[in-house]
Amino acid sequence: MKPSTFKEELTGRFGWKLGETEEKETRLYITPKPEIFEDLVEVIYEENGGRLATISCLDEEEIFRLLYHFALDEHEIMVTVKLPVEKDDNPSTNSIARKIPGAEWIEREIREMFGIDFEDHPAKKRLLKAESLEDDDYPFRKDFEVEDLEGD
Amino acid sequence: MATTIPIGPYHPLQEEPEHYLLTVDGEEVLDVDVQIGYNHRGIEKLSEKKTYNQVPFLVERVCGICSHSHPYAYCLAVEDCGDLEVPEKAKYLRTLIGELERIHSHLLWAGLAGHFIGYDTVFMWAWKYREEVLDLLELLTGNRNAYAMMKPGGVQRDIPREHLEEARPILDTLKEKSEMLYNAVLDDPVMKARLEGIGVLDEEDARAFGALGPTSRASGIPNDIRSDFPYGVYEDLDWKVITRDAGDVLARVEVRLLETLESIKMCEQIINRIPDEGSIDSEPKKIPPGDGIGSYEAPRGECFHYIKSDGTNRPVRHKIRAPTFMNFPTYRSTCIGETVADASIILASVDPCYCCTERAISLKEKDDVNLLELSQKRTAEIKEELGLELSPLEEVLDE
Repeated sequence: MKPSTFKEELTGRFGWKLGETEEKETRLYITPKPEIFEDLVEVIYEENGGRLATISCLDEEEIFRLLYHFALDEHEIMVTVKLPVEKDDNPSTNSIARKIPGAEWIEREIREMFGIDFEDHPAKKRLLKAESLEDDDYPFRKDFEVEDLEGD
Repeated sequence: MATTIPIGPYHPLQEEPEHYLLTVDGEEVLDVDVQIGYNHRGIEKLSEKKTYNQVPFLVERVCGICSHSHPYAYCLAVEDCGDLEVPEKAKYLRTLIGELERIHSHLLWAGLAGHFIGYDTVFMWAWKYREEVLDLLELLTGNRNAYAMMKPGGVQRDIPREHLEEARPILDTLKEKSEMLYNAVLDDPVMKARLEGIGVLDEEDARAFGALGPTSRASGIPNDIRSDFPYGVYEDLDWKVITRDAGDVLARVEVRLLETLESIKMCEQIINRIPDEGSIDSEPKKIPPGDGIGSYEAPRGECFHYIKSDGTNRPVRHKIRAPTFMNFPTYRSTCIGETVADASIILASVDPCYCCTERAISLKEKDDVNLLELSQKRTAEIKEELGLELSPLEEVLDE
């Protein structure tokens, strides 16, 4: 299937709320309206056999942006759903780990490295971050300087 | 009554630091908790400070075994972002190194699997043949690991035809020996008893956890980036995706050993078809702003790289996801309810990524020294020291 065909299918379901899209040969990027995010993920994951490859987190100046990369292996398309997350004292979004077990470790990693809280996540404990780092040290944020680290 | 057994983070059986906490009731495993991150080096963060052409050297060091997979996935991401063309010859060279890497990685794992169940004969044989592949890689690229072949838009160096021809006899022997290994492992009652029906991952769970590579293919999912999102020259080669339905550890062994044979077949085809003339690098000058996704079938499954470009000479964000990160959490479905003795092989059966790039000293047999004879002589000496009876052969050697 071509990314444009899949996009048309999604537009048929969600209309204008599908938001901005961008296509390449085998790639489709979608920035949906936040209210349809969970339904969109469900359509990609449940109905089209999308495999959650990973979630990339971008630290942009004003916001964090989460990129949910789904590989539709059978259709040979890589669909990326972009979701902005407000940069405030406690940046947070809903977890998808209860629906997609494969997302559990991915969300834990982002929570430790960027400090984004995934509400309703089944296991909010440390997985990766070095013991010498405090809970509120977020090493992958742009304002975190490696040079500031002391010792080991 | 439940007991907890902590294993690691430093343990003689593990080559890499990781911490398992097994909760057991007698022999039965009730729960597993894992703590990783002892080896976290912040490569994603470092990568933001390197230029596009420097990053391959950095990501090559993510893993010693997949030292071609990470740079390849990264280059695919950059090429996706900048819509870069890769010359035909470079594609062949990239694919050749990638498949040789798969052969040595799968043999390495087969050996370790044997070792984990206490079957060191398999370990010795598999690693013996793996050596040949590493030597071949040294001949072709200059290094046994960390080949430094990749760059966005092409490859760093050409491989001369005479070196490629030298690979043929090695691949022939390897094919014969891998077939032997495959048959020996599958015929062996001990292997069957230890591996069959153990650590079963069913198709539904494999999908839910997003399992990748041989782990998912052994559970009946024909998920292979080489055929789903083809890169390199895979579309022109004659090969097939290996799957098995059983989902147990034995199926994972089978898939990996059969894939080794497929890879040998592919290498032979590549050597036949690789063009002698032609450019190996499209020399890209600038990467435009945008997103790029690189998806590469590493020996352990899909290696995923994402880069975000802002039009400068370095990525603003570089996300790396190694296949083990998705495969490892399947332990929750495979380990629980099994016995403690099987837990180690089940945990190892997803082939968690171990690094072992230390170079070994190479001993060559000279005309006047026979290593086997030397070893038998030494055994005879030790026996004599201990006052044990010598076998007739040892008596001859001892004189």
